[in-house]
Amino acid sequence: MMRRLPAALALCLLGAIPAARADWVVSGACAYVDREFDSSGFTGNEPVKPLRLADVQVIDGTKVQGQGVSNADGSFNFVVADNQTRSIYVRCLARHSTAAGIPVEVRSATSSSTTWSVRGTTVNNHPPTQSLNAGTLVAVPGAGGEAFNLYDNVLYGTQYLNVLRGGEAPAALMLVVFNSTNSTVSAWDGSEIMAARNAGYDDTVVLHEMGHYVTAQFSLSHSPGGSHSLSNCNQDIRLAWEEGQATNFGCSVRRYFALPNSQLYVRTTGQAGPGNLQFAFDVETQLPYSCLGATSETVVQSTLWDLGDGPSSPDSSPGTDEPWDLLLGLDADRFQVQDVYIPTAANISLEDFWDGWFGPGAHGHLSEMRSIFRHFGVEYEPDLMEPNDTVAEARLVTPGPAIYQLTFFADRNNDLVGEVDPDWFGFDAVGGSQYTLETFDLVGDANTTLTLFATNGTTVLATNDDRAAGDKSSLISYTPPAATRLYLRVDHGPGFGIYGSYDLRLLGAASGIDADQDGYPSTNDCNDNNPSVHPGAEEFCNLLDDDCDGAIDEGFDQDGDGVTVCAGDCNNVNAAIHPGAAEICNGIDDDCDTLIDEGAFPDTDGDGVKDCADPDDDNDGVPDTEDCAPLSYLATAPPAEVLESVESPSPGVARLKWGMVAQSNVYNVYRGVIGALGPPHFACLLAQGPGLQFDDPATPPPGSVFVYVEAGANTCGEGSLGLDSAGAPRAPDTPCGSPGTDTDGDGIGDLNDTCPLVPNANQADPDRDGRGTVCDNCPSAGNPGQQDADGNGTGDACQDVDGDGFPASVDCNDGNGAIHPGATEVFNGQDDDCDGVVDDVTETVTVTLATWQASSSRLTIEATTNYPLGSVSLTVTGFGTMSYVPATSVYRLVVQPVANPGSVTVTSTGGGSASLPVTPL
Amino acid sequence: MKPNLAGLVLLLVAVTAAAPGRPAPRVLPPAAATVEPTLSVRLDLGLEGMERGRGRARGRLRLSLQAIDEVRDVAIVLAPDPLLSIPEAASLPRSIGRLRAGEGREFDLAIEGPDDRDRPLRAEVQFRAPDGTLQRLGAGITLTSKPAAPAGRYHAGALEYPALVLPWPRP
Repeated sequence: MMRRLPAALALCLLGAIPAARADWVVSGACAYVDREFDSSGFTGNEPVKPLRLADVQVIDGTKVQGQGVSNADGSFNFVVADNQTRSIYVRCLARHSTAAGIPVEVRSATSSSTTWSVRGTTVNNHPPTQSLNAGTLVAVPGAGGEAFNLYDNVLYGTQYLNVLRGGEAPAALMLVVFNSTNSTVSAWDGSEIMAARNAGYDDTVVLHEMGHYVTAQFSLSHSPGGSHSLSNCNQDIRLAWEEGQATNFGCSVRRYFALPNSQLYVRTTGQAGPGNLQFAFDVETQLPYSCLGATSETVVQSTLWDLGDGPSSPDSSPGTDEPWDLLLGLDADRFQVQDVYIPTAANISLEDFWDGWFGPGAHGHLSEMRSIFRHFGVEYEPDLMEPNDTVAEARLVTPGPAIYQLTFFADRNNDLVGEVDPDWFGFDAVGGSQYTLETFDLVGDANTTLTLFATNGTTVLATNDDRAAGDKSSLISYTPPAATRLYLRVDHGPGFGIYGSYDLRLLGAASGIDADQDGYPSTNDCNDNNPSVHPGAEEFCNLLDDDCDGAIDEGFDQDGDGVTVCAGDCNNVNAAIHPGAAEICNGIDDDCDTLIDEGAFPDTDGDGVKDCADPDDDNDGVPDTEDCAPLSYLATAPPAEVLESVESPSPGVARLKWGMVAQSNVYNVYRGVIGALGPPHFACLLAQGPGLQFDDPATPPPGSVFVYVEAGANTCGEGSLGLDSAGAPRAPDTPCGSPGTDTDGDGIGDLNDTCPLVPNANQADPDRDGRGTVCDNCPSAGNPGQQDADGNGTGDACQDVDGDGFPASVDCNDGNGAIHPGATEVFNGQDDDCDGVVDDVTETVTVTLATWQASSSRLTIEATTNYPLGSVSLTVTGFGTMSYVPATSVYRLVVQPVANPGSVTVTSTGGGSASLPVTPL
Repeated sequence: MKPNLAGLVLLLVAVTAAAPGRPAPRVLPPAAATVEPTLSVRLDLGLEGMERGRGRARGRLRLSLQAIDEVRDVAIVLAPDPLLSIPEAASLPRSIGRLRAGEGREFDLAIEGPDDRDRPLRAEVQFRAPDGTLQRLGAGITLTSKPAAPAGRYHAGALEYPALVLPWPRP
């Protein structure tokens, strides 16, 4: 022993001496051949896709010489520690190793030494100093492609799980076993996915199975397992939940990563090439395997799908979503219910998902959830007969053909989580008459049990659970010996759920008087004089309680404002509009009295449109939105700068000249000095000065430039001072004040005066052109510019140069007396009647001759038209087209032999026509 | 995150209080093994006893039909590659009629064809599901031009297949 110690120590020391290292870098990429699919199977497209986040190894013989991981694009690049020349190769494995997250691996058998991989070319005599480009190692179908496709899909699944879990966290290995000797059915055996040998490219199948892995790791299932067919609408409710959520998980992975056709579950035969479909279905619509109720996996999958998908989801309706589906992006909420609540439930099903959604940590969206669930026949809400959970609350009904649509869902504490729901009904039975009491159309897990009680509500007269073997509906036939009130209780029979929907009918003789003979006696008929009114009748909008449920016209008040359409609601989608509502000034008939904005609302321009709805309150042609003074037609916009010239009448004096600004009599005048340094400055030289020129006696400071700017003023404020050399608006440093000049002394300041130089305290201006009548050169026609070309004091608008009695304001040609409103339009290329249309002549056809020569049976017709020759064609009805005869300037048609038609009618393609009796000769 | 035990107990109490009508939770074994979704019928194809010689392959086509639910109006159609010969195909009943849940049919037919390239065969079963809808299910198998592709090798802790090596970076 003592002799061995030095030798062992020496060996240890030898091993501790580091060998000479010459590390090298290996780079390349891992990839696989994918097969794309749609609802027909494979599309035939087989793109090469990156093998993401997979283990990559450098192998020397049986030894792993180096190891790395591929990137998201499949590439890899890592250092290999080495110190000697070797024969090596690189391989990519269908394995994602991680201790921090969810490891993934695809093997050919359960053993860990069977991981699928593809290897590159062996490099012999590779020196330890030489880096290596291994190329792109592609796994092809039949030689790893399937396994790598399975790997890539479940890797997506784990990444989706990370999102749902709020980040990466350790979890059990996601193991897929794929082998050509596997069965043709994929399965989850509680610890691993056995991928069918022909499902290597069936992405949604392996992701469905991964949904079971998610349940095993993060939730719980009570599914009995085994085969399950999509068109079975009455599955074990626990199996339906587990399988439906698994399908939803798989397709949600693809939806989340925006992979194409994410709404499709596709199972192929596994053969290469386009098509090769086994079957496919749409997860969003269930089609073609549609069911109702929670006992269908397609219902579960589609219900859950609607919580996550949205208009932008890559599905069959990109850009839109179904009208009943108003939710989206609630994947994490769904997972939270599955993760936290579901494992605490018994006989786990969609019912528990509902309970978990609205239970602890409620996720809300009640109306949206009901909308989605109802669409798939999942009615987790009290029916209209609730509360009727005790004999004291029994709903009295009348035996008859009526069918009551009911649910097993009581919610006495209004927490949205349902409770066990016995449904009680009472009815008055006739003695000696047989009654048939039955449930049918069970949806979901609605297994019914019927119990018939005597009048005391406790003595059981009859009971039935299942109508027949395999039929969970119930049926009782009973004949009471004497007239009596009976009670019927419907219970949810034994099963794995407590919710569900069913229909109930009580057939038999009704008791009491039935005056209107509608099958419902007066004891239950709320109107026994109207056969259209009785329990179960269709409710119409007619101000009546047609169905005797105590509510009038329910369902016809869409906006919930308390008034139905038939009660006068003129807008059934706006609760603010209904009879009795206050009329407000908004351009709408708020109170439904057919009048819009009636009442004392201002109408500045008196055009009948109240200001609140009038786009141009002052009717000055400038929309209110652009009008600086929307309630004053006197002002439209601030005038622009008006300076026209600068003269120098004497040394050191600058004379400014400008033109007239309509509606202005006084002007503000500024002087700007642009200095060599600093910003320009503009100061007021003259405030509200009259006239059209101004002498500035100031002497320009040396080295600077003068800018004189005049701005007119009116009630909209001053005009612009123009733009500076840089194109920026000038602003006055010292704005002109407003001395309130009133030149004519009529008490109206010049800035607001319609006649600033002529007193007119009443401001009369009937033509609303801004010029008061006393100073308007044409008070009968709007002419704000006061144009008067001949300077005769009468505005051009009131001139009648051609003396045709129509002034220029209405005469479209005041230089031609033949042209004026009301003149006859003729074909002359002019608008003779001033209606804005040239040569809009009404055609006049005249039949000038219609004779029939008895001896020769010859009919002769002649006609004229005021339309130009060649512009129209004339036809004698029943005889043919007429020809133009230049010699006589008429259209003529001669027909022979023919009987005397009595009269003829000539029509023109210009719209004119005329008739004339035929003269026999 | 799975709730811890204390949290779970609290949650159980809360749940029980919130849903008084629902039975108390009970601990059940983990989920049972389950299989992928299927239709009401399963259809499997297999090739057995394949022999090759003189440029031809011959053997037996096994067709297995299994009803999961009771189905009616069951009919099978074969659509082989045009050069595949299935002399006994005529013996395949055009209409099988009704199959009860769990009931199955097996057909074993001779098949032969040139083995110069892969030759696919597709079968379709049409049936009326329990809800009355007419449904179709496809199945397929390929008579390959060669014996089974060379198997990968188990080496250094993995199943290795030779990769198709392309340049990197890829052009």
